Amino acid sequence: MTDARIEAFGDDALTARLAQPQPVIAARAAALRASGAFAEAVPTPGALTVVFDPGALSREAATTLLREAMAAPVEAADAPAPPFIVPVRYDGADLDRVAEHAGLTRTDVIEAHVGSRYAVAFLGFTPGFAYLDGLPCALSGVPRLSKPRLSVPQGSIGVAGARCGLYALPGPGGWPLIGRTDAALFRSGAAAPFALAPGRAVRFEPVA
Amino acid sequence: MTAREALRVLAGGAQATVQAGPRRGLRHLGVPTCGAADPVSLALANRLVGNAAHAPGIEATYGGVRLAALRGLSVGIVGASCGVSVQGADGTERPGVLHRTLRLRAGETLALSPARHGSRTYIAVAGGLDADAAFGSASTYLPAGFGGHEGRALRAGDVLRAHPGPEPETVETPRRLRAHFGGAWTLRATTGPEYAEGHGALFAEGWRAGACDRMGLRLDGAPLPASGSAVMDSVAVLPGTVQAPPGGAPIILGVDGGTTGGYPRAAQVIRADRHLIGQARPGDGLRLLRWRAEDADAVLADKLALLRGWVGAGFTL
Repeated sequence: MTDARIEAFGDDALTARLAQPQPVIAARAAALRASGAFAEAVPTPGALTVVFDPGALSREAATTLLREAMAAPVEAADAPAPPFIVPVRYDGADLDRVAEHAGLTRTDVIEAHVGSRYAVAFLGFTPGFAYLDGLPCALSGVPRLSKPRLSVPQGSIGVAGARCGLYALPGPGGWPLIGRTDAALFRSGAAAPFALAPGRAVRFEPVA
Repeated sequence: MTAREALRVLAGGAQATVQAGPRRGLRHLGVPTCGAADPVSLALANRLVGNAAHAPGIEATYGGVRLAALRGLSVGIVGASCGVSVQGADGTERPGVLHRTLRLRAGETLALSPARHGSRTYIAVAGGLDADAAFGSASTYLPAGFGGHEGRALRAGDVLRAHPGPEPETVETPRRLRAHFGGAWTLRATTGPEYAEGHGALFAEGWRAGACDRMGLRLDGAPLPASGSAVMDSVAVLPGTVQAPPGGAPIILGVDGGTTGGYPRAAQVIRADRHLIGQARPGDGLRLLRWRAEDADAVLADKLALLRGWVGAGFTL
């Protein structure tokens, strides 16, 4: 049994709120996408949002489908993949700002960032952007930039609030940037174009 | 048969991109809806040249586009109202109109004057433009640079190719389907999941469209009082989501808007009215009309029935 609470989100979406681990919510979303019942199934922290076509599926039917899916047993996750290694040049434009906020030196920031184990919480915002859990407390709570950048290069690594974020593609962004990677986060044309998926472990390694 | 050279871009205006259908089923990867900011106008333009509703066409912003025909071809123009003129190689000029199949001869130049009302005008080319597909659609997504024409806005010198197709018959958009864009918009919207007491002004007050692009539209007016939690974890958002940043101006997300956001979702424009977001321009008046989700179904059904009778049964919003 689950404790999902289902609420309306506009006229063509529903959100199930559920207190379950993020990989379980991601697995439920994947199962819903595979079922073909919904146009979208998007996992976010503690929630799963589906989009339906009100012309093809009534709100009542959509709600019932979602409720049943939230109560269904979820497929056990595969054996955990090895950590995805991200080599980082810690030369981000906001490294000093992050250091100042944390009351640390640049070297301390890098050590703290490298020393932690991360896991992908979810993808979102822009294509392939990965939100990582596992940011050490010392680096947490850095506010977003008051004026977001119009374009941030592919491979940029930022920190904001309680998370670390990875840009798989260029995009706009308000995350303070600490470094950049050449890791292949995006493979154009591949069946699974983004290297990271919810639940995947991530480690950072400094490079000169 | 392969696509052949059709048009050379002489001027792209404020921003012209190749846009087609939406990207569906990829929001969990952070891939936005994308596609024409006003998919109804793109579908109507495509209909004028016998194309499928989502065939790739040009989305011009505020008019100002000039194109040279590299061979004889037919185009359909629908959307923000702007003057249309066709200049021959010998300097002669003839007027064109929106909502009617327009034939261009090789060497003629098609020009859109600045749009008077509305933001986006669509130019469909018989056969459909040849465009880069990515994530299931040929639509240009500028922030990451994929889809459309090399993932970027069109600029002078670009050569666009179009697929071969039968010569379309000359048709006009039925009058009942022609939207007359003015300087004021009413969008029906439900309350959003984080709707709070202080958000009532969203529906009670008139707003003015502020800065806007394909990602979103800012609403200028008396700032909403800060309501609810200022710091929120990320939540799913959709085109039409009205975000209420603490103490700031509300933002209506557009087709290229991000898939998740960290601001309270105060309201949600109903699915049937979202195509209008792509036509509001800075300075326009804008009202949100509070609507119930249950009552939105009939609005969508009516609008789709009207459109499907002309652009095709498969059309959806």
